[in-house]
Amino acid sequence: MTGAPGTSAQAAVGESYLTHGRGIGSWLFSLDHKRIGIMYLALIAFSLFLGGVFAMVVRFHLWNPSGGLVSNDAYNKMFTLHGAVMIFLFVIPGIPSAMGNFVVPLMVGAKDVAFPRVNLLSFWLFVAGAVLFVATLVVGGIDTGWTLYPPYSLESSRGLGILLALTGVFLAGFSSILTGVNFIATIHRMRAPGQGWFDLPLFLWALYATGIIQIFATPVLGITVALGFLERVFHLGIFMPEYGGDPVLFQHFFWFYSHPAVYIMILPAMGIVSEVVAVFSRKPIFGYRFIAMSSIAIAVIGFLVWGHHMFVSGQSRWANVIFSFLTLLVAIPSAIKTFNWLATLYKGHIVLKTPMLYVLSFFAIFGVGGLTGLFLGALATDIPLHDTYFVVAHFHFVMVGAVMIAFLSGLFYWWPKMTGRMYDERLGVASAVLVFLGFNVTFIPQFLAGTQGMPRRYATYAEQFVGMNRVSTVGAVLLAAGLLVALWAFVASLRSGARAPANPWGGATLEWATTSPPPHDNFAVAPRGTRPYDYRGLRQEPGQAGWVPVGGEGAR
Amino acid sequence: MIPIPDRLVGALLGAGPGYMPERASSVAEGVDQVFGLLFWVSAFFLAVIVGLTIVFVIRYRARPSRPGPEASPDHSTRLEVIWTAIPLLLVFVIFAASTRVYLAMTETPPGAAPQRVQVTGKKWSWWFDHDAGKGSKELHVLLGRPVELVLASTDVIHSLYVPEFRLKQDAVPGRFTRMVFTPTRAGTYPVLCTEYCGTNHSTMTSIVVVHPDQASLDAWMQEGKGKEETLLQVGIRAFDEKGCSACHSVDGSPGVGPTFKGIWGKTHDLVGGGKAVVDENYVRESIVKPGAKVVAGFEDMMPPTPLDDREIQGIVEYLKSLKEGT
Amino acid sequence: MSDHAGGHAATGTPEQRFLAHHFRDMDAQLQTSKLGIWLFLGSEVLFFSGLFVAYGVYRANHYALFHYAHHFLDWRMGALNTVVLVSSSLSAAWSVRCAQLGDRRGLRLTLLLTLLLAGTFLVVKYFEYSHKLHAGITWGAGCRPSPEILATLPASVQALPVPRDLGTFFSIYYLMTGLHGIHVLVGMGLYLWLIGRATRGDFGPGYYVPVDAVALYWHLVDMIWIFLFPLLYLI
Ligand code: HEA
Ligand code: HEA
Ligand code: HEC
Ligand code: CUA
Ligand SMILES: [Cu+2]
Repeated sequence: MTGAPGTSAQAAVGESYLTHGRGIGSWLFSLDHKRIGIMYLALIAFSLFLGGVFAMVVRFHLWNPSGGLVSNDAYNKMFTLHGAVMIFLFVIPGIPSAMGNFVVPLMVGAKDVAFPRVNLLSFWLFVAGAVLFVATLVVGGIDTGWTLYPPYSLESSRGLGILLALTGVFLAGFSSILTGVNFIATIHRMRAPGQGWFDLPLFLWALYATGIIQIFATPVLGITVALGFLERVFHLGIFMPEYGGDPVLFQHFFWFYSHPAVYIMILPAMGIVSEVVAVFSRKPIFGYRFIAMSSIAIAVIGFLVWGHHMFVSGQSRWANVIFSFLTLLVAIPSAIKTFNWLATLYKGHIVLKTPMLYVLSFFAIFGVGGLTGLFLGALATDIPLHDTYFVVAHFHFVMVGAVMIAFLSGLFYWWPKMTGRMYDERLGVASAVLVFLGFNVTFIPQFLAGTQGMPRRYATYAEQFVGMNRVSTVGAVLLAAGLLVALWAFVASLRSGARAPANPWGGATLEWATTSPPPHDNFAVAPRGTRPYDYRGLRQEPGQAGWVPVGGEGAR
Repeated sequence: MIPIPDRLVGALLGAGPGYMPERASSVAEGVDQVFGLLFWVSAFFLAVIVGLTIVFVIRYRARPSRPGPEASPDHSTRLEVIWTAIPLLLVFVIFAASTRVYLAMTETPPGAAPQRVQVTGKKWSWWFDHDAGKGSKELHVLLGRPVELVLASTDVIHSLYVPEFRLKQDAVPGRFTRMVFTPTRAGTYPVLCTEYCGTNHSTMTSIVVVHPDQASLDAWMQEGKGKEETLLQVGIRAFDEKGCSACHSVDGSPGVGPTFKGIWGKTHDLVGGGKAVVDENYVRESIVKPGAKVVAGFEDMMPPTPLDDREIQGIVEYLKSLKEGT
Repeated sequence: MSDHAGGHAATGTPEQRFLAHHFRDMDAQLQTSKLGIWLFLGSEVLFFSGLFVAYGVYRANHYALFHYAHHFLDWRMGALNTVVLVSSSLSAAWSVRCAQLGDRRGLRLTLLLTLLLAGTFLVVKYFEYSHKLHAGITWGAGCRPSPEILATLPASVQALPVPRDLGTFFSIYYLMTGLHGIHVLVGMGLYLWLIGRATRGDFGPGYYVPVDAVALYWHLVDMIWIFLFPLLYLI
C-alpha cells in the first residue's frame, strides 16, 4: 500500500489524488475512481462539443427552407451523428460515469468503488465505443437516425459505417452496465459506519435507481444491436421483411431499452438538483423519503411504457391504450419531486451561486419538457404530434434544458472538490444566464413548428416555418456562446483559480468532509455517516476559507 | 363521466384554427380539444412552478438583512398527498378524454360505406389506388364520406401524415396498416412522410383533394380512366396466371384449397389450434408463407408463390369483390 | 497499478495477500463481490431474454414452421449435452466446497473436471453444427436442406413440402445456441485461469471469491441451456 496521506491539513498543500503518481500511464491505467471520473469528464465534455458542432451544422442548414448549406444526405448524417453522439457519448454516461465515479465513494466515505478494475475496464470499453463512433465518421458517417430503424438502417446497400456504429453502441452499453453494477454494489456494501439507507445523499438514491435501469435495460439494447449486426451480415431474417423478419420487433426491442434510458439520463440529473437545492437553500431537503422513493418508482414504471414511441407503428390499439395510461402514470413521481424541490426553497436562505442558478432554470425547463411529454403520452395528441418538431422540442427540453443544465450545475458544484480550485463566479453566472436564454430561444419555436405540422428529420421544409427556424438558429448561437463561457470559466479556473477550501458551499455530505482535492485514499481518517442535509453543524469562515464544523474537527 | 372534460375543454380554447392547422377531418375537433385541455393543465403547473420559484427566490434570498433560514418543517405527509392526488386526478381526466378521442379516430366512422383506398409508399413518393379503380399520385376523397386507407410499403417504413386531418399512420413493409377518417372540409391539403426514409424523406409529399360533391369526384375518376389496369384486374390476372385457380375455386365448389367465394372477413380455425380472420395481412401471409397458418381441414401443401405487393393487393381486392358479389 | 493490495507472493495470510485496500475485511470483500456477480448475472439473463422473446414471437407467428423444423434437431445429441452440462455444474459447485474446506487436490480435480465437461459440450455442439451445415441447413433465406437429410425425417413429416422460410427457425437456433456456446467458451477460459491460480495455491477457506463467482456464472450458463434444450429440440 503506497502513499497514505497524513492529516488533511498536510494533504491540502501536499499529496492529493492529482499529484499521487505522475506520468500519463498513472492516469490511463489508474484504478482510482477519482482519476477515472476525471478522464470520463474530459471525454464527455468533448462529446458534448462534437455533438454540438453537428447540431450547429443542422441549425445553420435549416436557416433556409430549401436547406442549401449541405446536401440532403449530408444533413441526414449530421442529425444522425448529432443524436447518436449526444445520446450514447454525452447524456447517458454524462452524470453517472463522470461525476458519479468521482463522488459516489466519497459520499459513502469509502476509499474507492466496489470493483476498481471493473471500473477501469468500463472506462476503456467506453473509449473503444467512442473511437468506433469516430471511425464511423471517418468511413463516411451514417444517415439512419439515432433510432436505427430497419429496414432502412440495414439495407444491403450500406457499408461499414452501420456496423461500426452498432459495435460502438454495444461497447458503450457494456460500459454502462458495468458502471451500474459498480455503483449498486458500492452503495449497498461500502457505506460508512452509521450511514443507514436514509442517511444517503439523494444523489446516491438517484444513481441507485439509475443502476437498476443500466443493469436490466441495457443488455436488451446489447442483444438488439448484436442482432442488427448479424442481420446485416448474415441476413438472418429477424428484422428485415425481405428475409422474413419483422421490423416492428426491432422497435419494441430498441424502445424497451431506450425509454428506460431516458430515465438513465434524468434520474442522476434529478439527484444533482436535490443536492444543490438543499445546500444553497441552507435547509434540509423537503420530503427526503418521497424524493428517494420516487426515483425508484420512476425506474420501475419506466420499464413498462416503451410502447409510447410506437403509437402509429401499427401496434394494436389496445396495446396503445395501455401504454398511454402507464406513460401518463410515470409522470406522477416526477411531479412529486418537482414540488418537494420547490418546498425546499420555502423559508430557506437562498444563495444564488452558479450551481443554484442552473438548478432554478432546471425547474422551469424540466416542467415544460415533462408536461409536453404528457401531450405525447396522450394518444389523441400524439398521433398528430409524433415525429414532428414538437417531439424534438420535448426531448431537448428534457435532455438539454434539464439534463445538460443539471450536468453543468453539478460540474460547477463539484469543480472545487475535483480540481482544488475555485472558478470565477462572474463567468459562471454569465454562462448560466446565457444558456437559459439561448436554450429557450432555440427550442420554444420548435414547439410551434411541431404543432403546426413540421415533421422532424427534414432537410428541407415548407415556407411557412422559415420564421420559427431562423429564431431557433439564432438561439442556438446564444446557447453555444453560453456553453463556451462555461468552458472558459473552467479553463480559467485551472490556470489561475483561487485555492478551494475543503467545503466552499457548506455541504454536509461526506465529500465535503475531506480536502479539495481529496487525497489519494479520499479520507485521512475514515469518516462516520452524517445527516446529509443538516447544516447546523457548519459555520462560514470569513474570506475564502469556506465552511468548517462548529467547534473544530471533533464535531464531525 | 366523459362529457365533463368535454365542456370544460370547450370553454378553454387553448388550440384551434390559427394556432394549429385548420381542421379538415372528423377527428380534428376532438384532438384539438384534448390539446386544449393539456395546454391549460400545463400552463397552470408551469405558472405554479415559475411563480413559486420567483416568489421564494425574492423573499428568501440570502442578503445582509437576513441572517439565515427560518425554521420550517422538512416534510409534510399532507402536502405530499395533495400534490400526488391532484396530478393523479388530472392524469385520469387526460387519459379518459384522450383515449375516447383516440378510439373514435381508429374506428371506421359511421355513415355511408367507406371509400377504400390502397396506399403504397416507396422511396420517395406515394401511390393511391382508389376503389373505383383509379390509381394516382394524389389522394382524392369525397366531403363527408368515410375513407378507409390501407397502407403498404415496398421498401422501408414510411408514414402518411396530413396535419389538417390530425392523422398519421406508418406504412410498414411486409404488412398492411389502416387509417380511417371522414373529410369535413372541401379543399386541398398536403400529405407528408413522417418516418425517416432517406435522401428525399423531406420531399416525399403529395396532396389530398377533398371534393365538395360526388360529381366532381366522379369527374376526376373518369379522367384518363382505364389507362392502367385497376387493382381488381391485376388480382384476377394474377389469380389465373399464377395458377391459383388450380386449387382455389371462386364459385364455392370444393378444391385442394379453400374456395375464395365469400371467404373475405371470415374466421377460420387453424391446424394446431388458433383462429384467423381473413384480412389483408392474413392473405399476404397465406400467399407468402402458406405454411405459417394452415386452415383446418386442409393440407399444408400450397406452394409459396412469388407475388409482388401490387398483385397481393390485387388478390385482396378480388377476394373482397367475391364477397360483395354475393 | 500501485494501489491494490500486494502481489501474489505465495506467503502471508489471505488478508495480506488478497484483501483489496478499499475493503474493511475479507468478509466485506466476499459479500460485495457476490452481490456484484449476482447483478451481472441478472444483466446476462436480460441479454438472453431478447432472444427468447424473438423465439416466442416467431414461434407464435410460424407455429407450423417451428413444429416442422424441430424434426431436424437430434434430441439425443441435445440430451447428451444436457447431461454433460448438468454434471459440469455439479463439479463446479463441488469445487467451491473444496475451496472452502481448503482441499487443494479436490479443488484442482473438480476445476479440471468442469473444464473437460465444458469442452465435451462444445465438441458435441461442433458435430451438430457441422452436420447441419453440410446438409445445407443454414440460416435465413439460404437454408436448403439436402435430400439425404430430408430422407431421415419421419414419414409423416416427409409428406409435407419444405417450408420456404425454414431458415427463420434456424436463424434463431444458431443465434441462441451460438450465443450460449460463446458463454461456454468464456467459461472455459475462466476455469483455465482458476486452475492456474489453484495450482499456485491461492485459494483456501480464507479466500475463494473467484472460485465462487465463476461457479455462479457457470450455473447460469447451465440454466440457460436447460431452457434452450426443450424449446429447440423437443417442441
Ligand atoms: C431525459 C430524457 C427524457 C425524459 C425525462 C422524458 C420524459 C417523458 N417523456 Fe419523453 N422522450 C425523450 C426523452 C425524455 N422524455 C426522447 C429522447 C424522445 C424521442 C426519441 C426519438 O424519437 O428520437 C422522447 C419521446 C417521448 C414520447 C414519444 C413521442 C413520439 O415519438 O411520438 C413520449 C410519448 O409518450 C414521451 C413521453 C414522456 C413523458 C410522459 C415523460 C415524463 O417522464 C415526464 C414527467 C414530468 C412531468 C410531467 C413534469 C413535472 C410534473 C409536474 C409539473 C406536475 C404536473 C404533472 C401532471 C399533471 C401529471 N417522450
Ligand atoms: C443530450 C442530447 C442532446 C443535446 C445536448 C442536443 C443539443 C442540441 N440539439 Fe439535438 N438532438 C438530440 C439530442 C441532443 N441534442 C437527439 C437525440 C436528436 C434526434 C436525432 C435523430 O433524429 O436521429 C436531436 C435532433 C436535433 C434536431 C432535429 C434535427 C432533425 O430532426 O432534422 C435539432 C434541430 O434544431 C437539434 C438541435 C440541437 C441544438 C441546437 C443543440 C444545442 O443545445 C447544442 C449546444 C452545444 C454546442 C453548440 C456545443 C458547445 C459545447 C462546448 C463549447 C463544450 C462545453 C463543455 C463544457 C461546458 C464542459 N437537435
Ligand atoms: C397446390 C395447390 C394450391 C395452389 C396452386 C394455391 N393454393 Fe392457396 N391454398 C392451398 C391450400 C391447401 C390452402 C389451405 C391450407 C393453408 O391455408 O395453407 C390454401 C390457402 C390459401 C389462402 C387462405 C384461405 C383461407 O381460407 O384461409 C389464400 C388467401 C390462398 N391460399 C391464396 C392463394 C393464391 C393467391 C394462390 C396463387 C398465387 C394460391 N393460393 C395457390 C392450396 C393452393
Ligand atoms: Cu418516406 Cu419518409
Ligand atoms: Cu419514451
